[in-house]
Amino acid sequence: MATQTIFRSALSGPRLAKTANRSLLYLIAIAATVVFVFPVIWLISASLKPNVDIYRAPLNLIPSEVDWTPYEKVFRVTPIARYLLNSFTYALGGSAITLFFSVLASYGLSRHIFTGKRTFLTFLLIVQLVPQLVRVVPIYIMMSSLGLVNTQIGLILLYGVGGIAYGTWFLKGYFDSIPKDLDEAAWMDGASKFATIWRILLPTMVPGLAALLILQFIGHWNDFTTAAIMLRVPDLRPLTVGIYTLIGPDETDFRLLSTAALVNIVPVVVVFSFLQRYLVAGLAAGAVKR
Amino acid sequence: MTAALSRSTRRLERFAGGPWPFILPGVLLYLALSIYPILYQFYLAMTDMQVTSLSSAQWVGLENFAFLFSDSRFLDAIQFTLLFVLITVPVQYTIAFALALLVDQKLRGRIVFRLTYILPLAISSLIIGLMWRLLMHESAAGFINALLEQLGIGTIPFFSNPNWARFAIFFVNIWSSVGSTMVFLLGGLQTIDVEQLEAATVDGANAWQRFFLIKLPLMRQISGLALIFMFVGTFGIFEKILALTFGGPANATFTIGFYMFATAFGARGAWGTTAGLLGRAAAMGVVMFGVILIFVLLYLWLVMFEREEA
Repeated sequence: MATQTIFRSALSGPRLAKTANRSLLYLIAIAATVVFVFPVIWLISASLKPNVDIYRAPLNLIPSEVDWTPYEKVFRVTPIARYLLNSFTYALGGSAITLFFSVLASYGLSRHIFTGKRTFLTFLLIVQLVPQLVRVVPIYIMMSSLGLVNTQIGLILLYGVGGIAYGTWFLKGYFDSIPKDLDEAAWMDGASKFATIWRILLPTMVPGLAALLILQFIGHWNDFTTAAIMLRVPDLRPLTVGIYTLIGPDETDFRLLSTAALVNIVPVVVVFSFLQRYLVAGLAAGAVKR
Repeated sequence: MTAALSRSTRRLERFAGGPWPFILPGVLLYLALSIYPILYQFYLAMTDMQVTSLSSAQWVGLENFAFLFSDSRFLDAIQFTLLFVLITVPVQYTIAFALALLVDQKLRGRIVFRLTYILPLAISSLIIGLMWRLLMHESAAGFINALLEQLGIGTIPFFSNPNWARFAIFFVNIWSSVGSTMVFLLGGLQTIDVEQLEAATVDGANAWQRFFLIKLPLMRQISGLALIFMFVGTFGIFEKILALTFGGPANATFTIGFYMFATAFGARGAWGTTAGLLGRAAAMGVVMFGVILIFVLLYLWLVMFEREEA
C-alpha cells in the first residue's frame, strides 16, 4: 500500500520533473567535485607509478605496481627534509606573531569607542587589498638595510606582521561577541587588562584563534614570492622555493616532481580536512558576529 | 608648572587607559611594512638603484618611467595582464555564482561539495602551476593530451602555441580561485531572507524569476566586493605563470608582475630580462599600484553612486 502510493506519486508529472531536476543538480555537483579533486588524485597516482607506466599507461590511475622510489629519491637526492622543517618554522613563527599582535589590537578596537574607528577599520581593509608582489622591491631594500635578508627571523617577521590587519579584523568579531560584563567582573576582582584578556576572554574564543592560526599557517606554508626574495641561501629555503629549483627548463622526471609537489600539498590538506569542522565553525561564527 | 605637569600626566594616563596601547604596536608594525614600502617605492622608482650597489643609487628623475613606456615588452606585458583580467574575471564570477547557488540548495553532502570546490585554495599557487604543467604536458605522459589522443581528437600544444598557453593559464587561474569567490557569494546568498523568497513562490514566481528579481539585486553589494578582490588578485598574477608557462612561448603569457620580479631578482633570465635593476622594477611597481588604485577608486565611486541613488 505504502509502496504503491510512493510509486504513484513518484510517477506523477511535477514530482517526476522535480526528481529529474534534482538528479541533474547532483550530477553537476559531482562533476564539479571531480574537476577540483582529480588533479591531486592524478598527482598521487603519477608519484606511485613505476617509470614504465608514466609513458605507456598515462591514463591508468591505479599503478600496475606501487613504486616508492621517487619518495625515497626525493628525500635522498634533495634536501627536502630540511625544506620541510624550514617551512614549518616560518609558517608557525609567522602565525604566532600575527596572533599576538592581532589579539591586542582587536581587543583595543572592540572594547573602546573612539572617533574615526570605522574609517580606521575600512582603511586597514583597503590597504590589505594591495598584493604583496607590488611591495617586494621596497621591502627587499628595507630588510636589506636592516640586515635581515637571508635570515630566518627576517622572513618570520615579514609573515607575522603582514597578517596583523587581517587577524585584527578576524578576531574583532569574536571580542565583540563576548559581553563586556565579563571584563567588568574581572576588573572588580582586581585583574589587570592583560590578565582579563589572557585568562577570561581568550579561553572563550579558542575556535576563532585556532581558525586564524590555521589560515595564517596555510598562507605562509604556501608562500613563494616573499621567501624567494628574502632567502637566497639554499639551506634556508622553504619547501615551495626548494621545489621551484627542481623544475628544470625541460622537466622530464614526472615522478620526482609529483612527489615533491605532494610533499607540499599533503600536510596542508591533512590539516585542512582534520580541522575543517573547527575551521568552518570558527569562520562561520566570525562572519555572523561581524 | 605643576599644573602643566599634572595636565600632561593626566593626558598620559588617559592615553594609557585608552585603546591605543593595545592597537598601536601591531598597527604601527603593519603600516611600516605595508604603507611605508608603497611610498618608499615612489622614491626608489626615481633612482638607478641596483641590487649590487644598494647604497650608491643616483637620482635619475623620470628616466625609469620614460624607459618603460618606450619598452615594447613592458607595454605588451601590461596589455596582456589587462586582457587576462578582463577575460577571466567575468567567467570566474559566473562560474562562482553558479556553484554558490548549487551548494546553497538542500543537497545531501553539500558540505563535502563545498569543501572540494575550495580545495585549490589550500594549495600553493606555485605548486598549482607545477601540477597543471604536468597534467597538460605535451609529451605522452601528460594526462590531458593522452586522454585526447585516446579519444581520437589529437594533442593540444598547451605550451608551444601562444593562444593555447594563454588558454592554459586562464583556465588554471579560474580553477584555482573560483572557490574563494564562491565562498564570498555563498555568504551573501545565506543572508537573503527566506521568507521573502517563500512569499514570492506563493505569489507564483518561478525559480528564474526568484533569481533575477530577488536574489541578483540583493547580491549587488557583495558582488561588487567580490569583483574588486578578483580584479586586484588577478592583476598581480605571478607564481602560477612562473611554474606553468614561464611567461612563454615567446612572451605570450608574460605579465607585468612577472616582468617586475624578473627585473628585480631574476628568473633564469626570463625572456631576455636583465636582473638586479631595482630602480626600474620599483617603477613597474608604481605603475602596478597606479592601476590597482584606479580599480579601487572606481569601485568606491560606484559604491558612493549607489548610496546616493538609494
